Order: sequence, then C-alpha cells, then structure tokens
Amino acid sequence: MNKTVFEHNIAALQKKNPVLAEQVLSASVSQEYQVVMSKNGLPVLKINRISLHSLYDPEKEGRSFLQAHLAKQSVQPGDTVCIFGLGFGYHVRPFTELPNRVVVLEPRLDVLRCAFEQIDMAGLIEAITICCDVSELQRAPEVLFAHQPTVKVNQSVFKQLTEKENCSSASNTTSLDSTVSKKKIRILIVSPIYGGSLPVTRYCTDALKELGHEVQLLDASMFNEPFQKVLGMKIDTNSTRVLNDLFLHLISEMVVGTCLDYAPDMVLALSQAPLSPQALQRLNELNITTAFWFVEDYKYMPYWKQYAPLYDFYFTIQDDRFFDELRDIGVQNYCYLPMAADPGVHNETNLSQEDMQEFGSDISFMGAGYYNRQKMFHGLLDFDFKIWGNEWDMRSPVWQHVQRSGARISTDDTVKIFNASKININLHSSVSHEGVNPQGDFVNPRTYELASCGAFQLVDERSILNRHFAVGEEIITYKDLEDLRAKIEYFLTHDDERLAIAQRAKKRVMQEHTYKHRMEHMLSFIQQRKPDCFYQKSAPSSPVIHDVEAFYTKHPETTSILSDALRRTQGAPNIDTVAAAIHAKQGPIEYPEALFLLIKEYEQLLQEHR
Amino acid sequence: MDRILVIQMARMGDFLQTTPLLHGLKKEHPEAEICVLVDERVVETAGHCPDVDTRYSIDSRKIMRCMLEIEDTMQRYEVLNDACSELHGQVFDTLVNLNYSALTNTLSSIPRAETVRGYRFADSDRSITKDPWFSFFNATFDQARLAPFNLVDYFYYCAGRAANHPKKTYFSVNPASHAKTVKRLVHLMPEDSMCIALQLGSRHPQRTWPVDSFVELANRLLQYKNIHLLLLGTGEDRSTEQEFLRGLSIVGPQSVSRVHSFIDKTSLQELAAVLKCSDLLITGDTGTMHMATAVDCRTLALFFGPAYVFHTGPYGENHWIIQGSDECSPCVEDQNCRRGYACKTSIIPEDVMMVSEHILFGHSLKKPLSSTCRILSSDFDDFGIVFKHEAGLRNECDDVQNACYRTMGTVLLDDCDFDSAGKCGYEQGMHVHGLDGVLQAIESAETLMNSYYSNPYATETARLDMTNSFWHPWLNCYHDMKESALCRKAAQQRASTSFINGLTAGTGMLRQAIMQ
Repeated sequence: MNKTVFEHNIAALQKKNPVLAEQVLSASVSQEYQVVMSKNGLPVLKINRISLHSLYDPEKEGRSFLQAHLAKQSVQPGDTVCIFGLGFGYHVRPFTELPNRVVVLEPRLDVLRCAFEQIDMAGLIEAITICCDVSELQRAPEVLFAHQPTVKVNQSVFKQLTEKENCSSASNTTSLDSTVSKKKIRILIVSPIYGGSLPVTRYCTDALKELGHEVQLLDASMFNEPFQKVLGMKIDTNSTRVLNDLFLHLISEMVVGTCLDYAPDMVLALSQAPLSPQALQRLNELNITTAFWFVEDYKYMPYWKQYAPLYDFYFTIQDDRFFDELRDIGVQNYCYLPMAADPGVHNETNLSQEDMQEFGSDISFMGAGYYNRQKMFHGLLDFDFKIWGNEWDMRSPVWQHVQRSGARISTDDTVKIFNASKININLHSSVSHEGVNPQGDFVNPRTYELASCGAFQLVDERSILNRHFAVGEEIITYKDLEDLRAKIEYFLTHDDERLAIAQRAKKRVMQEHTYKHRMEHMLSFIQQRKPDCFYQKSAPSSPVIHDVEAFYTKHPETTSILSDALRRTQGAPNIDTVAAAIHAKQGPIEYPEALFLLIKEYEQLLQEHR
Repeated sequence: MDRILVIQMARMGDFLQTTPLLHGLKKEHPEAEICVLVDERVVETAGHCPDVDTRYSIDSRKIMRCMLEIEDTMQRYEVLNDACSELHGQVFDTLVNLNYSALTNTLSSIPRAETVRGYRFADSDRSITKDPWFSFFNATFDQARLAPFNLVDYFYYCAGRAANHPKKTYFSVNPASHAKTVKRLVHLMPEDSMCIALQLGSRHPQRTWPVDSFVELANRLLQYKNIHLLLLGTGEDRSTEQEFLRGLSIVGPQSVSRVHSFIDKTSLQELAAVLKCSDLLITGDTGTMHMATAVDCRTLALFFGPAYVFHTGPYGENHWIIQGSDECSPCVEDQNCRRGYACKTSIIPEDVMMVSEHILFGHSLKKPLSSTCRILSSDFDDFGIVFKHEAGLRNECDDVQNACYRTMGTVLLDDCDFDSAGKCGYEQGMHVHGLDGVLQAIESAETLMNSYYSNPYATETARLDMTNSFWHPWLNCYHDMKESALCRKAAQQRASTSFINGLTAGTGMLRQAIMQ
C-alpha cells in the first residue's frame, strides 16, 4: 500500500466529509479484490473477476464514457450529475471539467479504500462529492450515469437508487434518466364484473402500459349481462349463492388458465374482482405475485377480512384503524394508495352551446342518490341546481332537479357536467348521516377527477383531505349545509377566485394524483417489500462488453459493429444492443455480424435452459 | 461442379426425415456435391446417408457449455469464430435452410450462396423471410390437426418439385454390423423366432406411452411362443427398462427370458441393424421410428399428445399407426398439460395387440376397443405420403379440410396450376382430385357450415368449434402469395378469428380465386 498517497487522499476527504473519511480509514479491503495493471500501466480493480475499468487504457475508456453519455443525454447548467460507481475514478475525472456539481455514489467503502491506496485522488475528491449510501442523496439527481461494472457488482443498491428515482418521479421533482434500465413487468389485471371499480381497472391498465409495462386485462365485465340475469332471477337465496359461486369459479379458472399461458409477474385485482381463494392459492403455487387494490370503504364492505390475507400485497384507500385491523388478521404487506384521476379521461373540455345548455348550471351534483345526499340537497333546491345520476328518490322534492329521469350517466357526459358547472358539489356518500359524515376517512375518486378536469368543487370535510390538497388554496371544503350555502353564494360571485383555485387543484393532480403515480407507487412498494418478485423469473441481463476498445484492438473486424452499438446506448453495450445495431443495417449479414448474432442466440438458448 | 448445402440442425429423427430431400437432390444433380450442416450429435447419422458427400457440423452442446463457463463476450466471440471457421468462406450454388430459427438463419448467412431456399434473412431489412412453400407450411402448422403434409414432404419440396419422389428415408446399414447383429440375435433366440422391437422411451413425457401399458402389451405378445422382444433405447431409458422388467416379471415371469434388452448397448449402426432384423417396431414418435423406416422395418407407431400422424408419421409404405386423441389433440409440445396427459390412455394395449396381430399374422382388423383412437396405415399418392383410415374414430370434417389443404398445397407448389394439382387427398375424405376435388371440398365445408347453422350439435362429432378457423391460415397464405409472391409471417398470425367467419370468408375467397 502506498501510504503517502492514501494519507494524502484521506486528508483531502477529511476536509470535505470527515465522517466518510473515518469510515474509509476503518475499512479493510476484501480479499476478493485484485488490483491489476492495465496495458498502459495504470492500476485497475477487479472484483470477482469483473474488471471495473479497461485493461488496456482506462483513462481513454473514461473519456469515452463521458462522451457516450453526453451524446445520449444532455446535461443542463445547474443540473447535479450523479455517477453510480467511483471505482478508481478514471471515468469520473472527465466529468469534473463540466460546470456541474458531480455526486458520486460508491456503494462499497472498501472500493474507496482500495482506490485511495492506489491512486492520488486528492484533486478529484475536492472536485466532487462522494457518498456511500443511497439515503445520503437528498433527492433524486437530475442526471444519473451508471458505471456498468459497478452496477454489476452492486445490483441491489442500484435497484434502490432507481426506486428512489421512481418515488421522486411520482412527486414530480425530477425527470427520469433513460440510462436507468427498468424492468418491464408483465401484469395481468382482473376487473370486477361490474361496479364502480370497473373504470378504475381500465385507468390502471392504461397507466401501467404508459409506464412501459406489459399488461393484459382480463375483463370480467363480459359476464355482466348473464350475471345480472342471474341476480334478477326469482329463485331462492341458496340457488343464487350457488350460481354466484359458479361465476366466481368460472372467472377464477380463466385467470389461472391465462396465467399458465401468459405467465405474468403479477396479478393485480381491483375491488370486487372475482378471484376465489382456491385460485389465489394456485397463483401462489405458480409463484405469481398477487396484489389487490381495495378501493372501497372497509367499514361497509367486510369481505376484505376473508380475502386480504390471501394476497401478497393489499392496497387500501384508508389507513389508520384499517391498518390495525389488517395487522390483526395477519396481513403484512399493506399500503395506503388513495384514489386518483386519469388525465386522459378527466380533462378540460371545450363544450358546444348545446352541451352547455344541457349540462351547464350554477351548481351540480353527479352521483348516486345516497341517503345523506337526498337529505342535504333539500337545502339547495333554491339554486340553479342540476342533479345527475341514478338511485334518486322519485317521491322527494329533490327529484325535480334530477336530470334524464335518473339515468346512469356515461363517463364522457360526466366530464361534460364537471366542465359545464360553475360549482360542482362533492358530498361523500353515507347511509347513516343527514349530511356530512364527520368520520369520513378516505377521499373519493370524484375529488381527483373534478380537479383533473379543472372544475371547481366544494367538497365535504374529510380528515385526510389535506394530505392530498392544500385546503383553502387548492380545494374548498364545507362542514355542513349552512357552510355549503355560504360558500356557494360566495363563489358564484367570485369567478376569478373560483377558476384560480380549480387550476391549482388541477396542477396538483397532474403532479401527484394520477393513476400513473399510483401504479408507480404500487410497484415501488412491492419491489421494496419483495425485491426479487419481478426479477426472479426474468432472464438475467446479457453480459456487457466492458472493454470495447480491447475488442476493437484484438478483432478489428468488429470496429464498425461495436461503434454502431455504442451509438445506440449509453455506457458499455451488451449483446442485445449489438444485435439491434446489426439488425438495423441492410444487406447481407457479414461474418463478424453473424458471430455476434450467434452469441445472442446461444445466450437465449442458455436462458431457456436455465 | 455444383455445391448444394442443406442445413438441418435438429435431431436425428429430423435428419432422417431430410434424407428423401438429399436423395432427390442427388438424383436431380448427380454431379453436384451434396453437403449438409448438422449438429455434432447427428454427424454420425449423416455419415450413413448414402447421398451426403460432405458434412459440416456445429457442436451446439460444446458451445452451450462454453457459454455457461465464459461470460466475457470477446471470448464467446472467439469460441464461435472457432466453431464456424470451417463454414466461413465456403461457397455454394444452392443453400437450403430447413430450420425455422434465428440461430440457423444466422448460420445460413455464414457461407456464401447464390440461391438460398427455405428460411433466410432478407437482405433488405434483415428480417426472417421464407419461401412461399415454407410460408404455407408455417401457416398450416398453426392448425396441426389438419396438417396436410408430412414433414418429409415439406422438406422434400423445399428444394422445388421434382419427379420420382422417393418413398422412403435412407440410412445405410454397414454389412459387417448387420452380420454381427444377426449373429448376436441367433445366439439369443431360435432362427424361426419373430423379433418385435419395443422403443419404450421418447424424448418427452408427453410422447411416451405408459410403461405399464407396454408391460401389458408385452405380456400379450409373449403369449406367442415364437415371439422375442427386443428393448431399444438410450442410457436415459435405463430406469424405464427396469420398471418394464419388474412389471413383466410380475405379470408374466415365465416369458421374461424372451425379452432381450439392447437399451444403451448399441451403436447407431447396431441399432439400425437390430431394426433391420426385426419384424416389427412398436414405438412412439421417436428417432428410432424414423431409423426403422429407413432400414425397411415395419413400424406400429403410437401417436398422441403433440405427435400427430399426418405431420410426422412413419415415412414409407405399409407402416401402421394408432392415433390417440383427446379434445385438445394434437397439443403443443412442452405446454403444461392440464388434463394429466389423458390422451395417453386413449391407446390401450388390447388395441395395439390387435393391430400387431393384423400386421404380423394377417388377423382381421377389428374396431378398436378404445373409442378415442384411430387406426391408420401409410400409403403414397402422387404428392407424397398419405395415411389411410383403417378403423376407429374418424373425424370426417377434419379429413375433408385436410385433403383440401393438401390439394391447395400442390396447387401452390405447381404455381397455381389447378389442372395439374395431382392426385392427392386419397382416402383422406376426398375422392375427387384436382379442381373438382377443391370444389367438392368447398361444398363439403359449406354443407357442414349450414348444418352447423341449423343445429350446432349435429356437427359436434366433427368438433366444429369456434376456435378452429382452419381455413384462414391457408387462405391468408394463398392470397399473400398471389399478391406478392411471398408470404409473410404476419399472414399466419392473423389466422385466429372464429370458425364461421373463417369458413365463410374462406370458401368465398377460394371460389373467387378458382373463378379467376
């Protein structure tokens, strides 16, 4: 060990990060590490036979690393550049010439120690920030460059880092880096036969697809018609139960059968999805991760007690006491996942005059005629008030305000109503209160959907609403009828204020409350709790060509192929990238190209055998 | 001198099924050097093919081992460079690639060839492309139940339609091996004995007849005192052999002495010689079966699961087949069977015994006891092998469609010359040939369709369910070919709409095509 160099390096680090310097001092270098000399005489670290740098000219490779990355991703002034992996720093030095802050995450203390022993890094240490733990990154970096050899020897840490990026992305603080490869997950979504969570299933499907995953929807609503006929049959309760069970088993069998063929990484079911305990058991045997998003009020839908323990992951729109109850029945992986909006559906729309005529009013309500709504809306009948939706009491004076004779309203028309009304009343349903439910502990989808449409709403107070919107700035609440009337009168005469609040709510939804955000959060939670669940079935990624230059040098006939591949990727190319570059060309396949393609084909055969 | 390279990288059985093509090529181009590229495991087999002049091989197992041990791409590159160096730089006049895989496509791009047949990379966008004939093959392959051509014929016609289609596969038995084997057998049994070879195993459980069924069959066969049984197989069949002998020693201990095991005890030549000396081979769909047909040993093949007689049945005259079926037959190899391989039990030892007695002693053929099996025998029409219905479960609807496909295939191959479509469809439900045969098949299809409309249950036995759109693949292929003279894979993938839509559109389009 060159003590002078080491001490010099430690002294430099002590100035910048004394805690880390102490840690490096007390670290010892693993016996698996081997320092070898490159052809041009520079030290290179090998970990378990993986060389962290070129064995020919590591400095040249370092410069190529910078160029290759900058060619693919621009770095704006002021961006923090994060490099995953320090190694012996050859690839980091060129970055210090950029006018950007450079943070290097080197997950192995002993790599730092080894590097400090071998190379004078004092200048580099002064120019960059070094950290050893993902948690030290306050937030996800604007730009992340992955040093592939370091990724290879620290895959789990790298995964953590990418998850951190996912979380940050969900809150819209940073953009994602294209160099971070994300696993495409294969998901089978099971919808309910009918009901409120049916459209949510479709929104989730779209969101997951948008996130780049492979999604298949098993749409159980195809059974709605026969199912409703069975429900409508005048037969005894037992027979109805038997028939319901048959539907349950039929659809469950379809799910299992689909899984056998489709081999998803995960099955996601939404509330009321017809999956039997036996089917869940079989999915478990097939080693398929199961997740359920329970988008209903647990107090009124007790079936969760039977099913929640059968799923690997349980997502809820309520927490607190519900979590206690889930724990009590042995559920371990539960997570709060509130409702959301789909901006592709719930958006601002320019309405025609006819639409404005039909759907427009000072105040409106869209939803079913639950008890508390029937009661409370008695007090609003002196306004220009249109009520939309079904299950309203025809005998009530409220009925005079019910549109289309209480018919179901399509999603398209619902969006028009939201857009056309000056004030949209949002009152969470209750079957036992006269108006606002003071114990309401979840936020309904309408809250997000209205906001997503840029529509102004007055929503009843909910204990957790302030977690999602800034009450008073982005959303206005009311506590009772009197309060509601006062706010209606105020906002009907303050157009600008109303529109500004609605726009702020919309912005918040776009930033945090879309189904895309929810699905990202769901997958991130699952990966956190069960890191290998999406990886174990996936094929291992093909080996990277770390030292492209060495390849060129030894096999000059590969130069143009590998150059093409380098242009298609950041960092070192793998055989898939090389194959893609070859297929992108035209003309007869050349011999060296054929050899690369054969490597890919045999690699694939090997993976199938594995 | 012309040089022709045929690439066949699959197993021994597939190579043997390629030998008529090699024979045809040799006959057509007697001066040409016929070369083959095969896997190292098959190189010995290829050496016994009388029509092969030069063998090239790739040792896939060795390459796979290297890939396992070496992660470094440069080293892998070098391994493959070594493996392919012999092929690199070779020049051929014609190259025929018979395997539909990216791997063999890549291999086929290594030597230089003036003409490439079969599967290949398109120069324009380097995508996999194929000859119209193989396009047709792939299209019909999606509907394996209606497979109109045996794989041997597909291979054979890949190199173009030639006269004097050989009616057998080829493998030369070395006279010395034959003499040695005869001597060995004479030592084991009296000269007037009847030798029946049993191939107990196969490469996949889906294709393997249960051991206890073999035991029961053996016990019945051994009731004939002059019958000796020869067990065939490789080292992998050792445990099956033990299970078989254990079972037989319980049900027929007195006859075990007439069972002689050659399992894991024969070279390739010796295996061929044993088969040549045998009066009958009873086997599943195996490489041994193809070897038997090549050395003129009669076979009784037991087909079920993914094995389907029309597709890979024994190639040659006077072979017999029992095709077991279930509602999902034929299935896809390696797919999870959710019915517990129930189709294996559709072939029962009593029926196998009955057919064996018919072949060996000329006893009358009876209706099989199993209601889900069908007995067929092999024969030839102008176009290649056909399998005649002899007894048992018959699906006439399938037969009509199958025959119709077959006629259409000949039409395609003859460049849409309907009048010279050839006499095919013999005994597969179609009794009129050429254009009239096609029209008759359409009428049959329409009749079936109408009866389906009026009463779906009336055609239940014909299994006209909504998932079988068996007209569509062919018609897509046919039309693509007419339009662009080159079929594309997408055409096959579209073939998945319902039966009625497919049939209605199919018959209509075909009528129109004929009228043109």
